[in-house]
Amino acid sequence: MPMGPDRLRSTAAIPFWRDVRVLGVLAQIALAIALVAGTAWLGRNLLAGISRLGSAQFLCADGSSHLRCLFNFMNLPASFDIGELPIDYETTDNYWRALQVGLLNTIKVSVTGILLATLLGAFTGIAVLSNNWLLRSLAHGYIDIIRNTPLLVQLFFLYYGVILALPAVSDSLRPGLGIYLSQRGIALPWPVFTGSMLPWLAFLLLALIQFQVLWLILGQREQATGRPTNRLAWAGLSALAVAAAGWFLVAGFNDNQAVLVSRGARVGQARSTLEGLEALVLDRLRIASLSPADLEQVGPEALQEAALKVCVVEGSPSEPNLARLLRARNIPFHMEDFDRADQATAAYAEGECDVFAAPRVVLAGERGTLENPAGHLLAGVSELPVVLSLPSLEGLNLAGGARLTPEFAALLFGLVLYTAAFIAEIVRAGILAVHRGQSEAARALGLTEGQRLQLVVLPQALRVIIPPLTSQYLNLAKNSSLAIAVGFPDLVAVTNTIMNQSGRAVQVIILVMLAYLSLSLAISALLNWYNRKMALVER
Amino acid sequence: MNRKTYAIAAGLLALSFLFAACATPTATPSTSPGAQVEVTRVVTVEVPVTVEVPVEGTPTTTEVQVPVTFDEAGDTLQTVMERGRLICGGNANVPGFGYLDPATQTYAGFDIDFCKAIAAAIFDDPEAMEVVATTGQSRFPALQSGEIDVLIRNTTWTISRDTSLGFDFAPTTFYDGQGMMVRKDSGITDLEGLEGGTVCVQQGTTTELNLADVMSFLGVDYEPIVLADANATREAYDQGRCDGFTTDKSALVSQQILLAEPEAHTILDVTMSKEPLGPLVRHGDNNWGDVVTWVTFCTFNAEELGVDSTNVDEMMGSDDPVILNMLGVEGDLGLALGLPADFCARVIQHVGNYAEIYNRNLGPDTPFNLPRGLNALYTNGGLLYSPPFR
Amino acid sequence: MAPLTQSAAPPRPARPLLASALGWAQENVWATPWQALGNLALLLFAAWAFRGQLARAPLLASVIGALWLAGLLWLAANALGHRPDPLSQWLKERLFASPPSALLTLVIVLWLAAAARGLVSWAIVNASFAGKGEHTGATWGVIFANFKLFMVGQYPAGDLWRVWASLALAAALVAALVLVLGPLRGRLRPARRLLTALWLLSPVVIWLLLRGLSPGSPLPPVETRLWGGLLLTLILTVFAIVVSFPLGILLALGRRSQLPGVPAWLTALVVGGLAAYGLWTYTLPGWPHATTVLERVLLLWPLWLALAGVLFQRAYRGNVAAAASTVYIEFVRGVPLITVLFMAQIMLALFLPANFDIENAYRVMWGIALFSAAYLAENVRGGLQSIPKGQYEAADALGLSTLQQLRLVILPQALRVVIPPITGQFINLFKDTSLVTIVGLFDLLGIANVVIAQPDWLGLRREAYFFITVIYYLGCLAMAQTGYWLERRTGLGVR
Repeated sequence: MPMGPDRLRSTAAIPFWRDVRVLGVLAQIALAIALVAGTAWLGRNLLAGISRLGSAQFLCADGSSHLRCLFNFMNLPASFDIGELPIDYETTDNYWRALQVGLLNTIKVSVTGILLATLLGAFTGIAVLSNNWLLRSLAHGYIDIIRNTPLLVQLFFLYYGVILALPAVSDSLRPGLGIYLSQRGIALPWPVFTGSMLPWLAFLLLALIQFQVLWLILGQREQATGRPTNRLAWAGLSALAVAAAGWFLVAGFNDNQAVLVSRGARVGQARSTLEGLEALVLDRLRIASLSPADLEQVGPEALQEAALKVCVVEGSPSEPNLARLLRARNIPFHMEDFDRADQATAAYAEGECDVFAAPRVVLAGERGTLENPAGHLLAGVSELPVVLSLPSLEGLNLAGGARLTPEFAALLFGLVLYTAAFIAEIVRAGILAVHRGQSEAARALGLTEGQRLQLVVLPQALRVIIPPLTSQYLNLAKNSSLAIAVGFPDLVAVTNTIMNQSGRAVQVIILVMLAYLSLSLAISALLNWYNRKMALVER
Repeated sequence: MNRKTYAIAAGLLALSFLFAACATPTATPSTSPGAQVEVTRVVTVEVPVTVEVPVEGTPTTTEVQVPVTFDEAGDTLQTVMERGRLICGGNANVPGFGYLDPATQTYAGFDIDFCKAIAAAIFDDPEAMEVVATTGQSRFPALQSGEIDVLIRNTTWTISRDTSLGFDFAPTTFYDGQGMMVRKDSGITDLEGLEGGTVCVQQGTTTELNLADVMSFLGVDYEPIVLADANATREAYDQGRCDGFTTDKSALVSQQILLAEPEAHTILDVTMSKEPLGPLVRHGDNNWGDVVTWVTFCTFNAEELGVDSTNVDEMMGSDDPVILNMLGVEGDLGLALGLPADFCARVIQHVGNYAEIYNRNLGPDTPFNLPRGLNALYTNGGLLYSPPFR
Repeated sequence: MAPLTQSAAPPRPARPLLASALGWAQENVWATPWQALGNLALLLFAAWAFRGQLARAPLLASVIGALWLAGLLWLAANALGHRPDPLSQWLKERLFASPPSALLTLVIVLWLAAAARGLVSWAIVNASFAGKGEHTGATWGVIFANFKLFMVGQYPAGDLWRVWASLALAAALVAALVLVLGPLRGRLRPARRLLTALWLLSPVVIWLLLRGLSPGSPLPPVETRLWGGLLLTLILTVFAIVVSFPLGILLALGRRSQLPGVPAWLTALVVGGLAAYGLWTYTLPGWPHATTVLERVLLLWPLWLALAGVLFQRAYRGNVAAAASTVYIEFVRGVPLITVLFMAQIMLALFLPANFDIENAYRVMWGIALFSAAYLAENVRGGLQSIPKGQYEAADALGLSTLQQLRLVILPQALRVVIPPITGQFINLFKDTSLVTIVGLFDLLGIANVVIAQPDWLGLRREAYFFITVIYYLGCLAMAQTGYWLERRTGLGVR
């Protein structure tokens, strides 16, 4: 294309059919006409095709049929169940609600996958550069195999070949750390926040302020004297001390949790509630103490019979809290879950359980509904701000802890393993992109290894890493659409069901594409902002 | 600038849909404005039909092409005849109903036989047809778009499919119900036993909806595992992922032989829903719907009148006028459909009557051995009843 | 006078063993508290791993432990004695570079040995090469018995000669290419044009061979739904590559086009007129009947059209080519491939006139090709951006037309620069063909699922997936090697 300025042209006018500018505009107009005509033709065919499918495609609320009612069918009840529910959902909810469930599932697996994949990818990328030949080869082999195998094959293999091949729940694998691996999923210990978390948060905030203050003060002293003051250790230790003090204070002086127990059990007469419960069980078993030696003498059926039956509301933190306390004293117990507090109270009133564990305010209210309120005691139990909910085998199922369904676990691990291999290559390229001279200069300046990595290598490496990292994150979010192959109800799977049951393929596909476009835009916008923040400020 | 404009546009669209999700419609019925959407096409079609007419002066007959016109017909029959073969949507992995043997690459099954029957009626050749294996999710769009002419694939007749999805159903060829399979050693004897358990179900089927309805009615708390195709669903159940596996009872029986240990499983004695299965065609072509309907009724009627593939030639010379009417020896009932008069005779010659089709695919000599039950003639306590060929 | 003897080296000061060892530890093991903690944790971890393996496989674990200790001692001995030994050099470099590295070596070797033991016992020792039986290991018979299915799917056995013919044709073309570019460079130069023509024709010939012609001819047709296995995978890949490459280049050029745009007044006229017409005939009559917000939003489509026109004019200054290319690329790159495949399978028939039937395989092929074109366009655009402006100016100075510029100057340089990412994109394409399983085609993965659904070979997933993983791996490797060869041949990074 000629690039000379127009002023230098000869004064003789160029006929318009040879003038490149005019030709260019005409070409654009011709292209525009072609595109518009093509789109119109496709659109007309589409409308004709849809209308051939029947008038129900555009059914409006008043019975007429109009194009504006294209998405009205989404208000119909969904009538199908979804396996994983991040929010409440009933079969009577409409298709919009089902779509939201699918979208939230996609976001859940994408965000978790992005976090874990970054960690694994960074670790592998650094491992590929380690000075240990075995580790290098192992990391390189992992990257090689994963990158050259289709993701779908890996997902199928993980779901059918690995996770579904795990033993049944009653024979779960216990690799340690309280994790249960079985065919019905992975159960992990998970922290549960109780009511006393809020006061402790105040202490945490105080600890954070303490940390920041000490950090700044010691930093100034370092600048003034030129000597290191170990400020990380000092600030960290002091913050830790404040947090620990807060923990013990809150745990010792709170009154949130209690158990409802009948006065006949004489729990209130013991020194503490737990001793009273222990005495109750000892009474039933007729043994001296709850040491393992004595418990062995009792048969498993007798133990089952005498175990303390506890009613709890499902999902309330009272369950892991009391479980922790009972386990500490080796008291055998059995938890019974109920959906609502009044159901639990009814069961307690009928004698199905010995105690009802819930927050004190709830129990006070529920006690009032009993026949003989005075005959029941509200015995307090201690509560920690954060309780670890441990999974345990209750009958045929696992109770407690956080559960990853096999579908979610297979999809997550598949996505993480696959994307981490690509991220590892990106990280490796980023670290290698930093010139060796930079590291040598850093060492010459006397920076420690940690300082060299943090102040010299990482900032420069990050600039090279982040743009391709963006596209890998987008790939992960888009690859999560393969969830349909392993039965995880993500956006594509749920919309597939909607498409089938309602028969409106076009509208549903439009919605799915819009959802993915928005997701992609959100992720890339976030990372573009971060990229601009880290951009090299050129002279 | 580009990114920002896209962001703005996408954001606006997203916002508007968010509003839509939160807003509740205030239905105020009113008369509809202009800009209606056209619904059906009404076409007048001429179909050439071969008719045997007696030659004057001789006892022989000769074949003559007669154009038959009928209104309110789409052009499916004409398209099929011009193409020279029928395109059926069917199943490829449900033994007994629609199964593709990968070694021999042939389709066989109860539904496939009805495909062959229609092909025989039109072309006098049961193999003048092609089966397109459709998945649970592609079957309806395939029929809606015209990729297949008829869908014969264990599909349940429901009001929503008949109306809002835009299909017409031929008479039910198999009356079924939804069942549940569990392991014998699980101790589950009824649906309440699945409380807290998991159930494997295939995506996009009436099974999925019925399961949700029945379980919520019984108040049973369960977790559905929804997988894309029948093989994956059965395999997940077989590996122990689910406590129960639900689909139509006939499909349960046919999938049971594909399990690792078929005898270790049992089908519960509960019927969760009505599942009338049959062929379906799309809206907009009444004549084609009639063709499929009357080919189906032909098989019922033939069994009722005792005509089967072994004796159909003799029956052409019988004195019973009812039989002669059905076989087209007398009268020209087939012409009104656009088919030759002896279309029913062709069907029985090449494929057989209903009893033969049933026994060949699901009868006592097959691994399924399904009792006829409701799938018997009305004279035998079943529901198969053909209107008269008159 | 003392004779000049060879013992001229002064005696080395004898450092006590303990002191030198402590000095080494001071520098390498507990130089800082963090390092000490880290090494301690690693030591405990290695001990735990060793104990675990000792319980499971005592002989193997003790052998590995003994070898590791031996290596460590050898290294220590040589380090103390200041004797440069090739073995200890190698050990120090690779395995025992630092204390953490040494401990890591032990752990990795233990775990690798355990994994290898398991794999060997499953894949070889307890395996069977016939059908299912009593053995506990792999059943490799599933591969051998169904090899034809894996390779060509349900292609009729009687027509397999066509597959062989296509393979032979492709092999002959590749051999000719190697010869023309390599050994017989000088002599076969005139044949280059012929070879190029043959290469361009070969996809059509192969497609005709495989697909067949009309029923009566000597080449009876073979329906595409019978194509399967590796054959289908390769066909999908090659079609997508062949179609998306020129399309991608077009899109990239379009996105970067500098053509003068449609003047603003024209856009305003056209779009404004359409919007006004739409508002008058569509929105206003329908407004009273719209009840929900969504209905109102849909009814306001003329406003959206006007907004699109405004954005188009502001962002692209009326450049239709750039706008259309950018919209297409960003749209296609924002959605997953599986939605594109669903759209192709389900919606394509609605976009085309009634009775216009396209087989499922063709729809999917076009879907993958159009999807890949967008990604390719971005890669090529990166290459186009890397060309210095001087090249364009020099080409203009030489008086080359736009087409000549592209063909002779711009594209050769741009494409050469982006060979690595394009190779990567094609490898991804090859792997992404596995997604067609979900839309009902039987490619390599789909056919593997069909094979293990047969009653005789029920549930043999690991064997089947292992086999197709090997095939995919080899395929990707071959493509990567081709990419490297292309880089070397075009002199990427060298000239």
